[in-house]
Amino acid sequence: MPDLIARDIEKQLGAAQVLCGVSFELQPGEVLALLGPSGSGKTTLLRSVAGLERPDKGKIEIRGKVVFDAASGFEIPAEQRGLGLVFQSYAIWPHRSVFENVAYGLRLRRASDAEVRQKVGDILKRLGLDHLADRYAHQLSGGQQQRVALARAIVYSPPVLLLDEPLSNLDAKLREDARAWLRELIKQIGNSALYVTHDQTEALAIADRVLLLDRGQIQQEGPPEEIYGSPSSRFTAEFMGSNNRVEGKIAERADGRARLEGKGWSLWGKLQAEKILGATGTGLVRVERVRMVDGGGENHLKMQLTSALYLGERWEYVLQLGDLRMRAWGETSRPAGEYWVSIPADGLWIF
Amino acid sequence: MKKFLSGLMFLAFFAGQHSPSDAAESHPNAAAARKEGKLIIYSSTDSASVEPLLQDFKALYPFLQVEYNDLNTTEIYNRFTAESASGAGTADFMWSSAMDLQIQLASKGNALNYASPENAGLPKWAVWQNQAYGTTFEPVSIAYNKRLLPADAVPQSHADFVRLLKAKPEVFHDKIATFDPEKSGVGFLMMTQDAKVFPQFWDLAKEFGGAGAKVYTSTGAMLEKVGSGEHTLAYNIIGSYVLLRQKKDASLGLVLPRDYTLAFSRIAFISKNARNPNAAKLFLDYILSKRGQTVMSEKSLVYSIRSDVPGQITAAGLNKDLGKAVKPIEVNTDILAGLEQNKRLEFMKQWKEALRR
Amino acid sequence: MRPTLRPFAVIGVALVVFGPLGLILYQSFLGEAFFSPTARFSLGAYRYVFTDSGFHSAFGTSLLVSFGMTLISVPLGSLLAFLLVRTDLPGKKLLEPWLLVPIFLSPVVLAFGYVVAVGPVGFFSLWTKALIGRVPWNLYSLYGLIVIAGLTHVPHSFLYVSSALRSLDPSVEEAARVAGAGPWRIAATVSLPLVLPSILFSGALIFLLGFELFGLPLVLGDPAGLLVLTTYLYKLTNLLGVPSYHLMAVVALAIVALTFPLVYAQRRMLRTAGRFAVIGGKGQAFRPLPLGALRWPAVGIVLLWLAVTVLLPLVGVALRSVVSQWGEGIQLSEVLTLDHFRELQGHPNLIRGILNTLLLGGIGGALSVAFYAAVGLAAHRWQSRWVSFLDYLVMLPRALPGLIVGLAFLWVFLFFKPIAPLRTTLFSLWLAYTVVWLAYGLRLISASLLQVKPELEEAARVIGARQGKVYRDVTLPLIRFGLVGSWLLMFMMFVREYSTGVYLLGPGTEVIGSLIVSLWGTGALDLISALSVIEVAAVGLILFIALRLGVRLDA
Repeated sequence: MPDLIARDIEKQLGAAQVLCGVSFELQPGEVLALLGPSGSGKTTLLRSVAGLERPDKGKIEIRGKVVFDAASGFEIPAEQRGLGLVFQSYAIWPHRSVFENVAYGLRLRRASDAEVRQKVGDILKRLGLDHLADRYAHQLSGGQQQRVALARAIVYSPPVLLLDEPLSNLDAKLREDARAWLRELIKQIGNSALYVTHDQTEALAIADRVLLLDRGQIQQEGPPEEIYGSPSSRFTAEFMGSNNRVEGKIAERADGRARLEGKGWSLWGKLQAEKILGATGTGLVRVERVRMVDGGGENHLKMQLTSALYLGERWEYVLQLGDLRMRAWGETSRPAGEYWVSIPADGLWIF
Repeated sequence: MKKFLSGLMFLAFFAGQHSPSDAAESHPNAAAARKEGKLIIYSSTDSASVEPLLQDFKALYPFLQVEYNDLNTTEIYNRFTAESASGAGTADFMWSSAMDLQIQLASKGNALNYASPENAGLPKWAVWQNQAYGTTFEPVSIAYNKRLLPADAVPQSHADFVRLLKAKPEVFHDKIATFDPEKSGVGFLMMTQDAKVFPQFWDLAKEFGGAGAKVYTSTGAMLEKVGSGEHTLAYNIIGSYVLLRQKKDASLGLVLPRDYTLAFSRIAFISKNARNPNAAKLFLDYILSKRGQTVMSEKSLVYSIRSDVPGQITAAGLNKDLGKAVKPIEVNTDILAGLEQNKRLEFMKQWKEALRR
Repeated sequence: MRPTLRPFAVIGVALVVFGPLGLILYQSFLGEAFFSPTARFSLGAYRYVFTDSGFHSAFGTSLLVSFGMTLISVPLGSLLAFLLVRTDLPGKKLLEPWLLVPIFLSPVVLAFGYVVAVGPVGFFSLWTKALIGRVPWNLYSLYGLIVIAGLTHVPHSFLYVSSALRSLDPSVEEAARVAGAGPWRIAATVSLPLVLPSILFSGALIFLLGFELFGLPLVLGDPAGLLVLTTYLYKLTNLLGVPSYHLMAVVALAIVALTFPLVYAQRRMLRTAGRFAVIGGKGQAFRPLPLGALRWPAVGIVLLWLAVTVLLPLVGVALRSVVSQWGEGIQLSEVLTLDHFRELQGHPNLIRGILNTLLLGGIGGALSVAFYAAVGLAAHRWQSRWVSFLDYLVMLPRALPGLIVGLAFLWVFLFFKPIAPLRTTLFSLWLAYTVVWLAYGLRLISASLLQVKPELEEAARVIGARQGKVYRDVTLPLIRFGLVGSWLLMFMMFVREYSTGVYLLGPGTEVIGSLIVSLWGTGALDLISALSVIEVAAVGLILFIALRLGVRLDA
């Protein structure tokens, strides 16, 4: 049985329709990422599950128990849903020590002092916070606060863990370490988790499944590799990864493939949407798929390298041909000039 | 022997202590008042003045707890009417210098009919229907600053004042203070009486206007300003207040106008629905008694109304000093004429015009 | 608080606001006092008041005073705000608390101090006279009143403009600096235009306050025969020789009719003011604008204002309290005495008044804060039409001068027999005070509540705490400091109060402020000065404690 079922969630805030009928299921032990740009409704969705927002339409079930049903007007308030929520700003109570912050949930559940000490002690140790038990929020670093927030949310073993952009307030460097560690921890604990983020790399890294949202609607749902490697919509393709975009006319079509033609160039690609001959099409190809090659071939173009930027871990080249402008990555510095560039047909998606 | 003597002395001492209250116990209402135990007074006589009276009263009747409320005349009237009408507890004893307001209240049936045994010692015009009693006989005088007002500019009578104002305008410019009849009941009363008695009253008013006279609602404020020199002369000030103030401020001078001096009386009455009527009776009798009036005159510096009180600060003293010039404002419903709406507004209008406001 | 209990808080507030107001309305339509057995429906009161030339001139005077004082206090307040917040004025930290002092001083005390200091025979006037042969000003005049009112209301403008300037993003000014503008050009073309809404808002506020002035016109306007609406009402009692409650009710309503739209307009302005504030990004410390050669003259301006508005009257009051006589021809050194303070002991009602004031301020203030906190919590994060109703509700007592609220509560206690015995207790006064300061108190509380980030409360809710427990465990502990600060501010305001207690004055309900007003009527200036010194000392002490604790005085 899924840990969490959300059906047809709709929500209007002011004049905007923030959620337009979103449905998903969260299986036990699964990490589901709600990914999308700002305004996509992902946080609203999370808060609706938590009970902090009330949807206009829809139904929410946690482990088979209905906690919200707009049709019948039934609603279990947030404090009775028994979930755990890690806030983006951590929301550590500044007037309580780390220990008391974490212990709060257990005390509400009338755990004995001994139980509280044991469970809180365990979780703090696990998260490397045991030496900070008597500190207060202002004495902690961002990363430490984040872990306290996490400890507080999981100490009473909620069926579903909700995380609202937990890493976005950390510095970029810390974030990279944290996402590995966070995924490990969530998997270790074994509870299912609903993870909201706007950072696609983070989503791909942490989640078992990704739900991509745009303007209140699900664009695509599936495992990370699928979202990244097989985008079913232009939005998905554009949102993920770093892309090159080419605009041209559909010159030819042949079983699932099409040839895009522009001023002085023509490329074969995978047709991902219904297009008739002669219509304009947009082709998207990941930057990492574009390579400099030695010679001609299918989908090989001779392009002019106008500038090369050093990014530290690699070089980025800017290439031009007629109205075509591409970026490609490589290991070395290259002087300006003409080069053969390969744009693999199976990597070029045409919408 | 020693023991016996000391015992005797002890007894004598005690006996001596008890004698005042023996006299008090003989008062017919004392027993009932003792049961009441409390007395609530609303009065416009300020606490400092009244202190000697209250202390003496307490010596006589130590079992009475007196709650003395020092309010201004308007407040007294307001609170009494409001509280009586709403059935809330209010004053037992009302004592105010706003003669007209007091008579008004009495004439509307708010006063207890009580013939005080001290009646006999009072002039006939001071008692109205055994309900309202005039308790003092105070001259309405002129106060001036001895330091700053040249001796030849000090008016000795009302007519003199008009003359001086016409002759020496520069001396008096911006230096005169008097009551604002619009805002002060007492002030209005005194001025309307002036207008009745003094044919040149409206001339005087016009001269005030020309001299830029300033109007106030309180004697104290005026005396303060005369003392400081902001003004050098205050017109229509109750003499008792000047006397009191002279104790502190030696530069204050007092003139009792020779052509006529209004004598005005603070009126007291016992509230009909008083919760402590007997205690109130005791107090009324006290302040009308020779003893009370003597304390009033000697210690409080308030002119007493009884003719048998010794000293200058008494009715007798005034009469001796001024003779026929003394014009008492009588305690009866004639005063109510001033409260009549139209007449009042008419007077105010004339006054304002005279002052060129 | 359970959601179901919330409306009750609003209903409670409605009761204490509409009760008195309703009674005033009722009274205005009667021909006599409402408790008079012959009182009947009549429009006579309205007819009288609106055709009375006294009313017209009082209205005109009020308008003039309001305009005048706004024209003085807003530019001065804005200038001082700019100097203290945005420039490198020397001694800023020292000066700032002093700028807010006039708010905490009782206007009667100030007015009285001015009389002693710069009245026709004030000590300062006499020194000036000795120097140049005459006194070039007249305190008892319309312009005297306007100037004093304007100067004493500078802090109100200062508060709003300075807090707006503080929330400006410094980079907007720095961009102008880099482009080459000097500090004054920046002030004129960048900073002040951005805080224009706050400037206008403070102007509207001060204009409103002009209609509610009572102490200043009572003391300063009296001798010149100047009446404003409030003193006109105060005088009405004597006009007909008998108290004219029905007339007073009409004047009260007239004042409300004028001030309520102003309060309403103000609130709308407050919203737009909020939109303009460009909150600084990371709250970086900004470099103040250098004043250069203007530094010391600027300090001079600030000190001059302080001297005239604070020092002068306070010294006046203090001086008067220790001299037995004063004025022309008096050598001050010869008349020093502490008698006035000793004399206070002989007046049990005055001693009671001092104790009552401290009691009301301390304990009453705490109870009021508790009441405001309860209402504030009820309205906290509650989306409902009840909350907007509460907002409007709160505006009503704001529009009424304290004098009228006190009067209205007197009537309430007289009218409703069951609560009548409470009239002579401090409770009646406390209730009136709480209503008068409702808007202020709620604003203090909500300012504290707004500082609590919603996530902190949501975190507790999600973990499983019910609303009530959330308030107890999270919200209230977090606004602890704000509550203490609010209590200290209310303490000061209650001690300084003078007009609300005037009509409720009686044995048992004496407080220093209303005693001073009453004593002013009897002219016992030495007692007034002694009481004033005590009041100022009390307020000063609390202010000192508040500043020590770091309480922010702006609200």
